[in-house]
Amino acid sequence: MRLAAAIAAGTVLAAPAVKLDAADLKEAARPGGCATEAELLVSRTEVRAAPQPGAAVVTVLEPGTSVYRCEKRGAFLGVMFPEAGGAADCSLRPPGRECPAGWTGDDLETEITG
Amino acid sequence: MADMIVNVESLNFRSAPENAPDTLKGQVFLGQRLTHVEDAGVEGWVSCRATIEDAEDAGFVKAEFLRKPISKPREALVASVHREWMRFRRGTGLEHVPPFSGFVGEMWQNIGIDLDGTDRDQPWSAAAISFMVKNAGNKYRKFKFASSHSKYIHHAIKAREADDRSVPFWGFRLSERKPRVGDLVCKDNPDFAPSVNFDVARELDAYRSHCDIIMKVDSERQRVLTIGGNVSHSVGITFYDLAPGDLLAPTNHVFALLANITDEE
Repeated sequence: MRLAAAIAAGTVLAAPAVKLDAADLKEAARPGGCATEAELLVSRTEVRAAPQPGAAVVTVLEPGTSVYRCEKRGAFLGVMFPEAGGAADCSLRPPGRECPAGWTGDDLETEITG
Repeated sequence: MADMIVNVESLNFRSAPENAPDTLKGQVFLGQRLTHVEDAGVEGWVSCRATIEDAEDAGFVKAEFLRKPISKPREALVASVHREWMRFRRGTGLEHVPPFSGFVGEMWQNIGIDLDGTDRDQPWSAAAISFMVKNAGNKYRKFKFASSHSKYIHHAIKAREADDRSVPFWGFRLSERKPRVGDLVCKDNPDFAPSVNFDVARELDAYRSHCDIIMKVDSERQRVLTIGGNVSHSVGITFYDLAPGDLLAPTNHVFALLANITDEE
């Protein structure tokens, strides 16, 4: 099963598909409450399928990637980001074309723009 | 003969020194330099040369809407801002529409960030300020070019504290200094924490804010006219209030004046 379908309501991630175990699928959840303005990632960051340490890493974002901060759950922070090569216009996308999303540690390092 | 600078948003450029429909040749715009300015022999009018739609032309304008140049480095910044404002069709060229999206991309590239201008959720106002300041020339080379206003605001405040006169801007509280053409006015973005005032900006260099470049100080109407990037999705005009004494008013979350010191000893 493609991860995107599991965690991003049908959107396609740039990362290769990975298999989720039952626990991941149970916990898989798209974060809500995402900001409408993006920030720039400062360091390489793993994105997990669910807000739990054992959840599968679904993609790794490189420094300079536009990321949107979403809700916080425990030590995890929801993030949304454009697919590889896509524009950071996530707040403007219509339903069905949402940006990929996932979970990182809540110590995410970003640079504000504007 | 002298040079003068247009000091209103737009000004009619005429073939004769009179307000008649058949004398209208075109328009000149805020911050534009007019050359060969001379008294036209008709009260209130001057003759001059100006670039009208990419071609130099001779004509007449009303003298009351012009100002004398202030200093070379300040006018270099005004000229840079004018160029960008014109490139964005005076605030009507939208950030996500070519060729304007490409212009935003140039601003990102200028500060070493690999975005191409189609990234509409990535605030680009500081990239725009950095671009316009950089294009103003060598006197501005020590500006803290950055993707965030907060970085160069903090830098300007600290440079003043260190008496570092090699930088182009020093940070002042609103009550400390009157704004002038070529200065920057900076305000907090109240939609994001922390709430920022001058003291916070002195300590921190990472928060959401916005700055614009002052193009006109209008004491009569108690306001300054500024131009900045990502203003209504373009490079456009914003007005800020003046307080009595022609200091910037602390309205609309304004908290700092970055004074242009490029022409001070």
